[in-house]
Amino acid sequence: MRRTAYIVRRSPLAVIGILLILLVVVLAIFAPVIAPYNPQKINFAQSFQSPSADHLFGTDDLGRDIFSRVVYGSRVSLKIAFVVVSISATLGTLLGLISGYFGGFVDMVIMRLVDVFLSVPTFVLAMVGAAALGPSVTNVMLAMSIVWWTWHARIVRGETLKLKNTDYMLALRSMGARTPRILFRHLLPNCVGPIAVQTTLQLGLAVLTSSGLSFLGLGAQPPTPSWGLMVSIGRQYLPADWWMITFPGVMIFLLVAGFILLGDTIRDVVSRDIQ
Amino acid sequence: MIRYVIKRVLWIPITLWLVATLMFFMTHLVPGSAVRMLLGPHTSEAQIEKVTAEYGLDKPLLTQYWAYLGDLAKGDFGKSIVTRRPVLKELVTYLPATIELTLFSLSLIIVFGILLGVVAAVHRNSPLDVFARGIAVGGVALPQFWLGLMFILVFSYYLGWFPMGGRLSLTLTPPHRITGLYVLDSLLTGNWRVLGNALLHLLIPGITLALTNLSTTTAMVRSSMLKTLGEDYTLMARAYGHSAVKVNYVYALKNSLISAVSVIGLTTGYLLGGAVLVETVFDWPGMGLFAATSILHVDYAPVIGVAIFIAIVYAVVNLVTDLLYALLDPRIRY
Amino acid sequence: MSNADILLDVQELKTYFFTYQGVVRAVDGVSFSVDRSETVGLVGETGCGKSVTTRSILRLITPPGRIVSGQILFDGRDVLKLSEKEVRKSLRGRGIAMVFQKPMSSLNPVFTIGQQFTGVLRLHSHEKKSALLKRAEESMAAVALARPKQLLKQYPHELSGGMQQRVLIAMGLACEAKLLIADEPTTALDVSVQLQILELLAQIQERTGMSVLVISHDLGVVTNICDRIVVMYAGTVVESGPVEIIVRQPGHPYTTGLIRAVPDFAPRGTALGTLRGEVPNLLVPPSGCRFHPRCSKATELCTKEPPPVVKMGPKHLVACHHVELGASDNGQPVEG
Repeated sequence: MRRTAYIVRRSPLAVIGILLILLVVVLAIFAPVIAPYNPQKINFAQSFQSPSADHLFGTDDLGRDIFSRVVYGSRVSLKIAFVVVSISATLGTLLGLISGYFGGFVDMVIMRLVDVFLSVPTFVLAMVGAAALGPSVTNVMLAMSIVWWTWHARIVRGETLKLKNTDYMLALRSMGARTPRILFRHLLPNCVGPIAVQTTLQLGLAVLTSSGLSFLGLGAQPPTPSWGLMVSIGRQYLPADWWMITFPGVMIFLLVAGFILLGDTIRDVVSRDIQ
Repeated sequence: MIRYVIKRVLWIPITLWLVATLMFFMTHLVPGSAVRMLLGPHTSEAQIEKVTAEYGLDKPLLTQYWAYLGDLAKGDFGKSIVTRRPVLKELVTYLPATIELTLFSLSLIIVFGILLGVVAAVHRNSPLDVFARGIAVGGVALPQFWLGLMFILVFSYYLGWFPMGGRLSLTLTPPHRITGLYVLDSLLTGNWRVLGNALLHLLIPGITLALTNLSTTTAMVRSSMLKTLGEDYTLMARAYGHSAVKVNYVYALKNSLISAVSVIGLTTGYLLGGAVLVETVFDWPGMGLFAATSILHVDYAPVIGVAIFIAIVYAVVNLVTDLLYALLDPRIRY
Repeated sequence: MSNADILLDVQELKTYFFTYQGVVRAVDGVSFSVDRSETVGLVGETGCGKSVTTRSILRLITPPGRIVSGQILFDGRDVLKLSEKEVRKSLRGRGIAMVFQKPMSSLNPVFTIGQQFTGVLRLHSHEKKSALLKRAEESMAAVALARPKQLLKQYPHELSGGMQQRVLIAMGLACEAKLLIADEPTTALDVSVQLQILELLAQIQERTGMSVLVISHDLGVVTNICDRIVVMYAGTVVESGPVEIIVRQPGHPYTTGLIRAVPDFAPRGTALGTLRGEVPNLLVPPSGCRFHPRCSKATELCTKEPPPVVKMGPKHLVACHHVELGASDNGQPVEG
């Protein structure tokens, strides 16, 4: 752990990544303090204002301050990302452990399930899911969780298989260790590395996918200040009111880039450890 | 080897069946009737009943499922509630556009992904490496729909260099349809004006799609090259007098190309998924746009149809790349 | 011994690696020579700098490593002063051929043997492909490989470790190199095959007059076919001399320890000796004589000053403060 911190500190990219993530987290937590206006406050008189001192990012078609909406939008994105990845990581890890450790029929069923979910490109599947369940933030989270547990399951299963037949495991079993204990106290810690990589990267992808789904109209509904939704609305008013899509998009980019930079660095650390 | 191929080919219909089942249950879980939403709250019961019966939406779930499977097997993907045309027919109409976009992006990704990956590996830890990886990582983090819009803003509105969307200027007629791919067809028929115009329309959407999907390929090529460059046989080639250029760009490259093939299948999947967003932004009349507009109209059949179609293409592409990989690497012989 | 007989002359070679953690002095003042038609063995534990030395000779050291100082004369020319192009054209392959440690990983798995062989040959000649293939076949026959024509069409993984090793040696032969450096030629092979490869190397040396430099941590392998032995420890040469003398009357405590650890050489009835202590960390090498922490004869002088090179015989050199003056003419140090 300390070594990870050391390497992360030494990689400028990882530091940038962490800073970006922290920036958005700060925005989310302190939104009421940072945002100058109420993000939902409609004011037709002020609509379509370009960026100015009053409105840093300009206003939208309903006169709402975009900067405030962007700030509050961070809550939406972060919430979705963390919920989705928590669910899929937990579910996926659990199933992966079970699948890898017990093998046999259970393994086959779970793996076939994984294959099916992976045989359709993830965005498409999430799209169908969100469409089927009805457009809302909750359903988007559900749809993405349903799809993404597969990645974790695969990785954890792989690690479990590698470790399953080692002498280490044999020794544990011969000492009478019971299954759940073996699974959680011994196998799981060994998988932390790859899980960490996958989780971090997935957080980034979650933000990307959810904003894409929102853009299509499947996610957050008006008047929620979701970044993807803001771009979708702003699209109608191009090219004149360019600020309506520029700033939300930049935020998505920054947050996702942050996660990916961090995730890549963790991946370097993990693979170096393996070497 | 043959047995492996047969096994893989046989697995495709099974996977597709499972996928179709998955789709069916996903879309029929919600009790709200599609018809009701389409027709609005002020429709008479008679109207609802009529459309419901027409689309078989009132029968028990399992019956619907069997009917659904049966239809699929016959190639009947149902009818679009909006356009009232068979979904399959619509898909076939829209397919070439998506294929053209995807193929173009894929070519860009292969060329630039490999180039960036090799450069990054050869100049490891130098600014060039960071730059190449920066492009790849940056590409992924950019939201595709937003990037497309930004490109349109800059290159179409402000600079006027490129059209704002669509496959062809409205004043031109599409070339004689051989493959459905405008670029190819116009090339084959010698229709130079249309060729230029089609390329102009294809460029920005293609770049948008490619840029956002570079990183997988670049990362794979880079790590594969790094591994190869660290191998004894690379050192040996240098020890016998091969120049660095030869070793890096001829010998080591071949090793890495083989690994690159393995990510092509995965990348295609991402491309197909991303096509939905890019087509929407650029008004590109492909399957993606079709699916997106269908969603807005709560028209499920086309969405499922598109998803299954994409699954088929994805499965075939993966099979082909796996076979290609086995063929290229002399160490693998089933 | 006239200078014309010396093929390779390494003088005070220093190759350091500049890492995040500090400077690793992998090769710190190494000197030795190889005559024409001579077989020399370079012996030492893992990490003593043998491989780095040979790579330095071929100028294959990449950052963070760098050849800091020294002189490497090959066939009269200073290797360190050659241009990159000259190194590629006249030194590597043509002048010196190197056979690496693990034959399994020394050949590129996605190219056929023939492609790699002709690729190498083409660097040093302008003949047509068919002529090159013929030369490849001849060399492969010379190393006792059966059906060379067929082998050339195969991929490396289709050959056994021993066959791959022979192919590598054949490549060196075909290039008509003057010096063949064999880095741990037997380590990755089965015992039965090891002997064959060693005999092969000896035969080649006899037939072609090529010099051979054998790198190994296995003293048994080296004494088998070498005329002279150079013993390295922690980046320095501690002893060098004719094989018979080294084996029977080693001058350096490290050499003595090595020999005592080989069952064949230890006097009957005595327990096999072991060297106490561990291989030193080359980031912070021991002061003075690098061997002093493990040496039973170490004194305070040994911790302060690096040992002088003492000439114990016509070709026998030992780097030690307390050389045992045995059956050699004088005990005068070669360098003060």
